[in-house]
Amino acid sequence: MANAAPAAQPALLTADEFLRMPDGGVRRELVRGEVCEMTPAGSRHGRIGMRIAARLSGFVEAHGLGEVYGPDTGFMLASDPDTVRVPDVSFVTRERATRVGDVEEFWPGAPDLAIEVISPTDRFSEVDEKIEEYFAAGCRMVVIVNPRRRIATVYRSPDDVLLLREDDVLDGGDVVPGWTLPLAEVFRFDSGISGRE
Amino acid sequence: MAEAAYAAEPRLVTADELLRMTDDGVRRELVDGELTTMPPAGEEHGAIAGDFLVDLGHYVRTHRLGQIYTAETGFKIATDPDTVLCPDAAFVAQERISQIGIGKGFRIGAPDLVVEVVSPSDSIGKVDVKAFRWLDAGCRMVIVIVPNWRSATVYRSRDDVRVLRENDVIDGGDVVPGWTLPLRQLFE
Repeated sequence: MANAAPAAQPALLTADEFLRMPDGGVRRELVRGEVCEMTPAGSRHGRIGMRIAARLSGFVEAHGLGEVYGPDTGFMLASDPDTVRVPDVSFVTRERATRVGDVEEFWPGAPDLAIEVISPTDRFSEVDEKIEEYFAAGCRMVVIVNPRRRIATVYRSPDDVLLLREDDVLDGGDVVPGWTLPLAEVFRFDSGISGRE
Repeated sequence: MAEAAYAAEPRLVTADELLRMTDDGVRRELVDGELTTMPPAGEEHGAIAGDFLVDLGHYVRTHRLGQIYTAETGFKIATDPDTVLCPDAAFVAQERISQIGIGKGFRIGAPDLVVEVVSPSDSIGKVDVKAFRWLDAGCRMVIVIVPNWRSATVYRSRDDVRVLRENDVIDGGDVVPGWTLPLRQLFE
């Protein structure tokens, strides 16, 4: 029985230790000092994330608005215990990116815009928790994309949510000024008839 | 190893056994003969289900359209192995009530309308699985309310699934003819 107690309280990892962990080929996040492994995303998930990233990146680069990061970049959202989240797509304004520089470590703070593509196995409470963490760390817009329902929910704060349907347009607002993306383009599967459930 | 095999095949429970169980305060459902327990709902969940039922109930009563049911009611939607589910709210049309009346045991068959309110611990995919199970059992409309997104999803068939947002209106369609409920009312 004595063995059970230490197992229930694993030693918390810092972001530095987390960064130096050997790459086991597994995508991980650090949540309040605990390592959470993520299974690889399904193909639709990745395709949709990539499409959003490509459109956002093209616009941001053309207008010199800042930097766009892919689904490997860790953002350090909280310290002691440390939380490092890995959004599917993220954007940091030019001003903040300049201040921080092109660092090799995790990005020290929240992105201005975080986009998460959700999977059927995600729990509503887990998604809520992430949204709250992003905003608590200074994020200004979180977009949750639900491929199965072909909807997206746009948060400007944990309580300010706008639900977009397939015929609506995602708008960068004052976070990515001028950027718009019709959701139909996000969900469109170009290689044949779209794969609805 | 022999024990592991046993554990993997629990004895199946029937709907009759579930009905006769001593009430220990735990809400249970039966899915393909296997018992599942449900923790009590949180306040927001109960408030939304309550508001929904009051509105629907008033309309159904006034127009004598059938019977509404609260969250404790078991509906037996499959036999051998038995499945008994308890939706957060339900409605059965008058003509079906007239056919078999109202009994002491579980209601046999699916309601015409099922309302489920999503809980934070639900997985996003599980909500679909549950809605499709109701539809497969003959339910004509499943309304799943997602408080976090101030949204509702209306399932009429596997191919007819519509997402409503706060400014939209739930419409009873041919299931509860003439009944409408602005979604916003549920989140006030």
